[in-house]
Amino acid sequence: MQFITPARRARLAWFHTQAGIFLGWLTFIIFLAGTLSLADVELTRWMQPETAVIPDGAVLSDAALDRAVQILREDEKAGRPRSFIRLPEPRDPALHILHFNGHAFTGSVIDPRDGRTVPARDTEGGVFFFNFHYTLRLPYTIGEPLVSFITLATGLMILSGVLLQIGRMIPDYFTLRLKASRPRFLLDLHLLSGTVMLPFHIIITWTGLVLMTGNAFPFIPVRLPHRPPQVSGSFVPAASLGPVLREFRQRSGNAPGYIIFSPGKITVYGLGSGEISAVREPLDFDGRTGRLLPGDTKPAGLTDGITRLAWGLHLARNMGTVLLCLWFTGGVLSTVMIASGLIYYTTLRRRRNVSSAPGVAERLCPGAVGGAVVAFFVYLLLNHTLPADMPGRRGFETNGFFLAWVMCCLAGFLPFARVVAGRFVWSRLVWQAVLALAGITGLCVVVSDAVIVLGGLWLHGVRLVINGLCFVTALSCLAGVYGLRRHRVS
Amino acid sequence: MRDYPPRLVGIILLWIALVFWFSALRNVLSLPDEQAGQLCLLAASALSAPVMIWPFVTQSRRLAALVPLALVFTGGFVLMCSL
Repeated sequence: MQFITPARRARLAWFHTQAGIFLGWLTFIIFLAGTLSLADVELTRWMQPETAVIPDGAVLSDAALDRAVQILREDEKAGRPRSFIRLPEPRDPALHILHFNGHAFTGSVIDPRDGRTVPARDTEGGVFFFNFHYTLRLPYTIGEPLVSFITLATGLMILSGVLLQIGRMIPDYFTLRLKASRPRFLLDLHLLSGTVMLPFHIIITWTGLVLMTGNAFPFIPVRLPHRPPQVSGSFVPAASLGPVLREFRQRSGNAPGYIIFSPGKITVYGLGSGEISAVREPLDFDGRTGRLLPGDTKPAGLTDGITRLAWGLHLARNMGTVLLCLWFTGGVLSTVMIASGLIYYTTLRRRRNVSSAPGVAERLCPGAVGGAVVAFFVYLLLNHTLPADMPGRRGFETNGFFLAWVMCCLAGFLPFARVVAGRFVWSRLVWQAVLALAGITGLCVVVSDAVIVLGGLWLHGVRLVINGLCFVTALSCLAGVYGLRRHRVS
Repeated sequence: MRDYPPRLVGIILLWIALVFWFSALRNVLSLPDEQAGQLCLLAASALSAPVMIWPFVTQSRRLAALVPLALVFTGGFVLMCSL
């Protein structure tokens, strides 16, 4: 007996399209920001070219740690928010003193060799996307529950999509008709990107739900590992950090990654190597003497292990380069899947009901989807073109990102587009304008970075990779403008 | 079209039922509190999609709303008893 009957298929298709059209926009943003935040460390390095004076593999000195403690002390005296130290790692050789500014972790950059402060430009860098991914830049009390709700709905959308295509998955792997009509091509792209990375879509949605599950299932209490109770007092340690880190290496066998301070206590978190699990047991040291404090020696249980694995799979902090690249590709394909689904739906609607005026979804589509690329490039471009010592430049960057996106979204609602272009080519014209803007802005980003590299000789592999990706994306957008000119609309 | 609103309501009711049932399960499990909480969270997040899609899989739209409603009431009752 067939499980997916025509009636059942119709119901699931209705749910899939309606959930997609109502929540797909936010899902698209969440996946895009999540994909970019996989490279947040590299993006921050790209956006702070001054840090390129620190060579890869720079050895952390005691002088740098003492300087970091001195900065912490000054910050505490000045009443600034409590900071923590992020130690050099293979992905970023700089020593960071970071505090939470309400949206992202920002702060001073220190050369780990000698403790000199690097005059890096003030920016949120790639962390902007990390925060945007799980709060949508809204206050936490609204943003996190909203993202949890969307994650739940995404799970339902994926499952309904799988049930709809359950018998056709193998053909979907091999079907992409580039020269077919636009809706057919978009549907092929949606199905291909959905089936090729289906395990990734399932893993990333489920692990995202595990991370946000306190909001998704609010009556079930969440245990966040190692949340210390709030104690008042000075958090700046009196003990020197050099011997503390050496003892940490000796005891745990891991390289130290983060140092978090609380009154009378130094907590050191290790960086895993070749392990996916995100959280590993930290070691606590006395803040005055630097001696190791007795900790919880109980081995982690099965549920603890699964939770840590889920966190590790989602956060992708300890993954090697190959897995990280695979995750990034998966994120790009997820974003493409959602975008192609959204565009397909609006295009299909136009085909079925050609006489009606374009709906809100159709008008929003070019700006919301293509405008995201424009906004990303504007963010990078502002970072490189605003004066490095300009006050409030961080706010200009993030506001520029949102302003560019909103402007692109409004483009679809401009009345002249309808009057001048007419019914059939209206959407295509807006798409071409947005893609052209994205392509030009992307090329400007690459040129602006080339100017910085030529000016300061800050050439680095990270810069080359990011510039290369920007260049390819910009060219793809410009190719899209040309392709749309030739593509059959129906 | 009128087939769908009860099914959408069914999805929301199933979410509430999941919260109630797993909250109750957490209380009755003979595991340490933290472990029980984690186990329930993992299970609830893994089961959420297959369970919540059910109203759109079942044939009858009445069942699509009534079964989740019954699960909410029983879950609430079990939760009250487990406290």
